[in-house]
Amino acid sequence: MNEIQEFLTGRMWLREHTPFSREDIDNEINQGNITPYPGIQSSVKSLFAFTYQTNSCRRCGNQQLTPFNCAKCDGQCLYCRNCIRMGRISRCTELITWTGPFLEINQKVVFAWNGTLTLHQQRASDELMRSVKSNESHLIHAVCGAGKTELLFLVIAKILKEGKRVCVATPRTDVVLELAPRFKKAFPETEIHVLYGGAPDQKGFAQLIIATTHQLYRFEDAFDVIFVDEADAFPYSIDTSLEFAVNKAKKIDTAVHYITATPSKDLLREVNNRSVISSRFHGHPLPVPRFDSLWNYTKQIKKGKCPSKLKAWSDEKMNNLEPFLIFFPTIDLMMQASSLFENIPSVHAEDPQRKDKVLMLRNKQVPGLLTTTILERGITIENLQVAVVGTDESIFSSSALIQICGRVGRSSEFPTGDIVFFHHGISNEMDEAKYLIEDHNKVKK
Amino acid sequence: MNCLICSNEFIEKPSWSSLFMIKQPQVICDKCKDKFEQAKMKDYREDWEGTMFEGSLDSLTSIYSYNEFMKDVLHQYKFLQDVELAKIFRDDFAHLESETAMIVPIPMHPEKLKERTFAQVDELLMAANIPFSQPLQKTMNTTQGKKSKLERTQSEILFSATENIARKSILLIDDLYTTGTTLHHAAYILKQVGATKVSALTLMRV
Repeated sequence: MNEIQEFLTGRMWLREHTPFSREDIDNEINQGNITPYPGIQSSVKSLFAFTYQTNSCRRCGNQQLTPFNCAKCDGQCLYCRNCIRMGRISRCTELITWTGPFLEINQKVVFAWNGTLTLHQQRASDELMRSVKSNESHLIHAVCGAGKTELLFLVIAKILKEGKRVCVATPRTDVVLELAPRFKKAFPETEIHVLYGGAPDQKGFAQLIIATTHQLYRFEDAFDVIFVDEADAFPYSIDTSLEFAVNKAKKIDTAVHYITATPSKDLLREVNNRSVISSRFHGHPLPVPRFDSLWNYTKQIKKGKCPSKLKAWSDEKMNNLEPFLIFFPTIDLMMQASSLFENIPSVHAEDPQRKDKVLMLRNKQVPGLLTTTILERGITIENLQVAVVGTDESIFSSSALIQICGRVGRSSEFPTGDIVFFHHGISNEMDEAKYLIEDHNKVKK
Repeated sequence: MNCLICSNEFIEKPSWSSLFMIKQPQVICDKCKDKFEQAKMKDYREDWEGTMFEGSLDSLTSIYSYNEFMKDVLHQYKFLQDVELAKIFRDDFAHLESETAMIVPIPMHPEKLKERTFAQVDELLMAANIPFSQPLQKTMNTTQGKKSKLERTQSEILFSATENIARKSILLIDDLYTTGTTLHHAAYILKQVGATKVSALTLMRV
């Protein structure tokens, strides 16, 4: 019984897909401890004299539902394609959640992190704590490498000790995988669930959840405090159903807190409480990108010729034994270029071996990697050198470029490094990225 | 338009036939389409020689090879129940409009149908706007996928058929040809009720 309560507290789960037996679930429903809801919500709206019906998916809020002829309903039915990978929601499916006795959280919290925060981190951490206490939305705008995760530790430790449930959500699986071990180390006694597409099943009740924003479709009214890390990253930035997921997953009047190095204009407008950290934890200035022309790079690469400047750059890094990343605007161009580089693997979003290849770079088994923008965030490798090919392409927005620059000089032993934008003409986004980085460096410490 | 498989946005190449709406609009992008492989011609009779089913199925045509990509597509269609994906294959069945044989999709067991909420082979034909008849009934609710090859070839007859079939020549339609048990059983029973020729068309073949 207790297991069901632990699992379903704050969760919205497909009735047919739970890890429990049908009898147990039916039994709890009869006792009123579990409430089933229709998978597709219908509501009647009126506009002047007209009334019309809108249907939406209870799990992801999608309103563009697909009609089909259903053998179970014996007629027209609707289903949701947006969140279909988590098990299909249609009009004839039910979502269940725990509505019985409240689950008492009395887990022991051990805070095992004993690092120290810089003055800037400490200030931001205090300001964030104040906003969490007063339940007002807060934005931590901290440059790449400022130590955002560490300043979160302190705040989260306090919240956990109060017996509250916390979620750290981010659009990128890579970021979840990077964050999870650090949180597990900092809170060794706390039950932490790490959720992303393809994650192993995790039992019991987790007081702290590290998840991709996608996984929050499966929660409702669950979290007392929620942080969205890298809220400006794809696909959160363009997929409104993910914002819906975050809002649904938290308790109704809980504020959402954001952490990013590159806040969007909307975010800056919406959130009034802000902490800005303009310097890295090691105190060294941010590496400023240099621009270098690489005329007609697409043509050359397509012809099977490596542009000489690019070749010279990668050879130099290889000779110096410095690990490097070369960013490409498209998978196609990267694949064409990969035949020009010997023994340098390439990674992209659909690459199943991405994790292993990044690990190989970290372990110095390969000199460098070719990559798409997928590695723009969340990767920390000592003494990394970075080149961007085709920086003028529209996929490289100023925030993407700032994130890419943020990969360089992250450790205190190697606080500098080369970051070069190879281009076929300078774009506004390139100028803006450089301007914003220099602006942070100008701030009086 | 967003691709039904990878959900990336794509633009269909303009053509006269799409302009005059002779051709249905494309629903998947070219990148996904390129991952489809034509099925290889392979003999299917060998496995059935010497059994009571030998000679039941007169011919077999398969459209696509069941490669890794197709595996995912079929999984999303059948097991994630994404009915909409039937539209991907409407061009592949369009030529059946002029088919003279009686078109018979492999039926599902009523219980299974309720569970899946749709009949996957019927939906393929309906998406392509091809009329069909159903003289067959699935009598055994078993899943072929979970059985070994030996079990499959030896299992009891999976179907029953209504006595009078309108035309003597029949074209069976199925989504996937693996060992051929389903199609051989269906063909066998159809021949018993008077069919003279039974051919089969499957969307994919292992």
